[in-house]
Amino acid sequence: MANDDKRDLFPGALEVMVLQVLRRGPLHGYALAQHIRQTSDELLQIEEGTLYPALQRLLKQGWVEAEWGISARNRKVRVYRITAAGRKQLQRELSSFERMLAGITRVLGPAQS
Amino acid sequence: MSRLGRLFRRRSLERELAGEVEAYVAERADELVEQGMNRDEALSAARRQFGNPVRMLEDSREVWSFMPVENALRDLRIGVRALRHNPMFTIVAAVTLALGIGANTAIFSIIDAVLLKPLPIPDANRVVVLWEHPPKSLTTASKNSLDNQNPASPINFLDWRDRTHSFEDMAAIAWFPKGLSGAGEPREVTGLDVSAAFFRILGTPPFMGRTFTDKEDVPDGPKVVVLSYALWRQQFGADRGILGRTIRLMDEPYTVIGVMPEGFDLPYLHGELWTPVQIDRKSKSLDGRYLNVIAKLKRGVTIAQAESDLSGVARQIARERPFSNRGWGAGVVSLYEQTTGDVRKALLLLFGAVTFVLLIATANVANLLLMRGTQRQREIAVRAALGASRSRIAGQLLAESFLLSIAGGALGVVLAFTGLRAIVASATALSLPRIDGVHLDLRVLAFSALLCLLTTFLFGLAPALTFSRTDPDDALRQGVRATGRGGLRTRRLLVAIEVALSLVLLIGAGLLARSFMNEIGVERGFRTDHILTMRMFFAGPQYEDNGRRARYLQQILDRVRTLPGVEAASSAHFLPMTGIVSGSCYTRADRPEPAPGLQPSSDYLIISPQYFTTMGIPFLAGRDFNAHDTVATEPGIIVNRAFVRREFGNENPIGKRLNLCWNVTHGIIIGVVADARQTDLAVEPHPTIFLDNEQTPMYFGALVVRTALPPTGVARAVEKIIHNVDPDQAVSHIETMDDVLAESVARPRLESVLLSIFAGIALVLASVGLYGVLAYSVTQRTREIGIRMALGADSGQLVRNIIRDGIVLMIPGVVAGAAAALALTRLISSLLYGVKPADPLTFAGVCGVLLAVGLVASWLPARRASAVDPVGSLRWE
Repeated sequence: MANDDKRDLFPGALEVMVLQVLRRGPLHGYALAQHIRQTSDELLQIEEGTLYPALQRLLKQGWVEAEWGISARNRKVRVYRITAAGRKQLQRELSSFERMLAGITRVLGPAQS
Repeated sequence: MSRLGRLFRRRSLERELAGEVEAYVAERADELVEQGMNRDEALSAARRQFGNPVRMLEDSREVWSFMPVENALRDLRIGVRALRHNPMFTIVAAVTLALGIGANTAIFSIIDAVLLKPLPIPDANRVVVLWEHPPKSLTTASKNSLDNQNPASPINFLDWRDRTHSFEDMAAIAWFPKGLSGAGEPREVTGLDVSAAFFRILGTPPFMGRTFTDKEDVPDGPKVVVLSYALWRQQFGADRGILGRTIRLMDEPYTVIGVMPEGFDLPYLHGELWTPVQIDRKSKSLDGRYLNVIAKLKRGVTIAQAESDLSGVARQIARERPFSNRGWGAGVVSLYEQTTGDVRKALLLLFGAVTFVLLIATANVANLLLMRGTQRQREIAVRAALGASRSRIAGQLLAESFLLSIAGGALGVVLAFTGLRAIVASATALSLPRIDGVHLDLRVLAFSALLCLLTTFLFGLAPALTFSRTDPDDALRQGVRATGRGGLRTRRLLVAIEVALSLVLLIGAGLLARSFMNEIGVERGFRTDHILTMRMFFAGPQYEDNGRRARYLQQILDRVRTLPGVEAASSAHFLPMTGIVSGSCYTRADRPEPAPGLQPSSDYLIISPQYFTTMGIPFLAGRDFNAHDTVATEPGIIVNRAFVRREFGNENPIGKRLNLCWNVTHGIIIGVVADARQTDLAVEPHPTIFLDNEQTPMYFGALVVRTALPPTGVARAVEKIIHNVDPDQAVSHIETMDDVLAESVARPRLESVLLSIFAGIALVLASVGLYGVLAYSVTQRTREIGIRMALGADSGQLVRNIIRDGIVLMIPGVVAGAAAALALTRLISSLLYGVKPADPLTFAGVCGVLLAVGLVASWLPARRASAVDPVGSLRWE
């Protein structure tokens, strides 16, 4: 039900990006959203409506954990941190990601030349 | 954390996410302010950027929730709230469903007990009942398909048993009410004289002691008796020392050798005790047909094979002993068919009827829901706008339907329970087989639960699908008047279906009612008022002598006739309207004797003087029996008009002599009486020979006493006279002739009454449905009507328009219903008496009633429309 979320990316991509960003250090929700937006040079627009459910999915899988902390602006926020299981998952996801990308490139490549 | 645990984490999750939203917006706003925006603008821009927090919340929650359960729980909770919010709707819908589910539950529980539950007999599917089939000339057209079953004669039973090869075991059963004395009040008990094989075939070991053996089931064998559990408890106080004791049956000592367990009985032939039948092949009187026969098929033998085996033997018998067997055949029927055959059709008819009622109820509730859905379109639109998906809305609407079903189902089971008690009470009186097994047990409740689920989808799905498609934009923009035509076509279709279904039911009920009226209104030829009846057996050694037996009854009648308030008293060996009469052959003494087996046959009734006076049957010629007719004089014969018409035409029958196939072998006709029905109301009077009990005394009989006062008033006095003559005489069935008649039509009456009740419910539901649709469309058109009236429209014209709308709505339903009824009523033709399944009067009458009710249902909203205040309706926004 209602899992017809119109993600901008293919399913699971947002989760992988979140894990990747969190690998560099814990972040709170807003900072996470900003970070993804900036590092992708604004190419990827993260809808906040999809970010939080994605975070919940990651929490549920045990790939990230969250605790209450203080933001740079001294505000009470939830801070997300990647877990050991999350790191392993990220490795798995990235390698399959690369294989997929390689595949796509090979298919698309010859057609362009 | 377990999934269930997460259900309880919901609150904290909501708190967390709310915190997240707040933090996000605040952080973003701070950033925007830093970029030079003012605070308020920054906040609203941040909120806009965040998007729909409700949607986010829902999606996040779904990550955690065990969706089906959590959604269902929430839907149900919301459903309860929505239903409570609109109690009128809820009550109407639940009561409607309760009628449908209740009727189905009640009828199903009867069908389950009577038809579906296996007989409590091991290998019941191999147990069969054997019958002789009388020649065509002797059978009477009858409503009952099992009616050409005739008991077998002892000699034929012995030949069947010895010569057939299809049966493992075969048992004869003779049904003999017996006087039980020496244990409290003398009492008549239903005794069955049976072969030893009887207990082997039914395969039930005794509760106590033993059953009798083949060695005991021989001529002049020991007098032993096996008691039923019920009799053992009632009459002998459940005495465990009963085995070996002697009880007196028909004044003869019998040794109790066993007690059968509770519930042991032949389902179509009740017995309270069993004694060995002890048929003597050497006896001279083995031709009388009075034995019921049961048998157990050998493994792997089908009923058809057994029947051809048995018919072969029957043909041999007819060749060997043509005098009593020419034209006779034999048949095999399963015990199940024997037990349920004649009620199955009626029960299936009732089941069909309640299915219709349920369908109508379902259509009605679907209609109500569609109507309500239209009113709630705004609410639904708001929910959709807030991000509820279509399936969530449909689920929510279905949840409400489910709640309605459950409420209706619970109420229905209560209704069924109450109704069932009434039905079972009246059905027990007409000895419906296995009716005491009817209970609201788990099987029945499971059936009701299944109905609830089924109806939920039947009536809930259409509205759920219709309204979950609601386009929020559209619905909201249209504002308060946004009602649309949502489901109007579906609703008109539903009403047409309801009309059709209820028409079929009404026609069925009408036909049965007419059939019943025909039956009780038939020219019966005798009176039933002011007659007291009771039945007795004159058995025991002191009545072995014909003369003593005849004098005994005469003595009782003489004394009864002197009682104050008694106008006449007599006896008959079989009371009218008890479904039974004797039949045998005769020949005219003044004509050449026909070949053996080709003699004509007639009903025989053995009576005492004053029988015709008592029963109010007029004499057409000659005289009644009187004290001068004795064993010493030539036997007198009284015949009825049907007999005279067949045998004598215009000749004067008085003084003519007949040869009889009876204990008296000849006699002279002394009187002619008018025709009267004998076996039951639906059977035309047969040619009948009446003989005097004084001259051919029977071993049993019924007293008939005509009184000036209410007949039950003299019952005690008559009983006292009988016990003065013989203190041990058992008397049974003390009742008025009116009651005997009522019992004889109890089953058609019950069928007719039940079907009428169901048809009545159907009619009410269908007219409520019709009213609902019309009333709703009037409400919808209040503005339009107001404008028309303001512009000077004629209110009479308006009323006519709306009524016409209602009639137009009904016409397709009436046409379809009449067509369906035409096809379906043929199935019940065997239940009808004196009325054709396509009876035009019933069809026309029922259509008329339905249209009239439809007219009223349309007139009510039409009147409301004509009362619309034009000014008010236009302001109403």
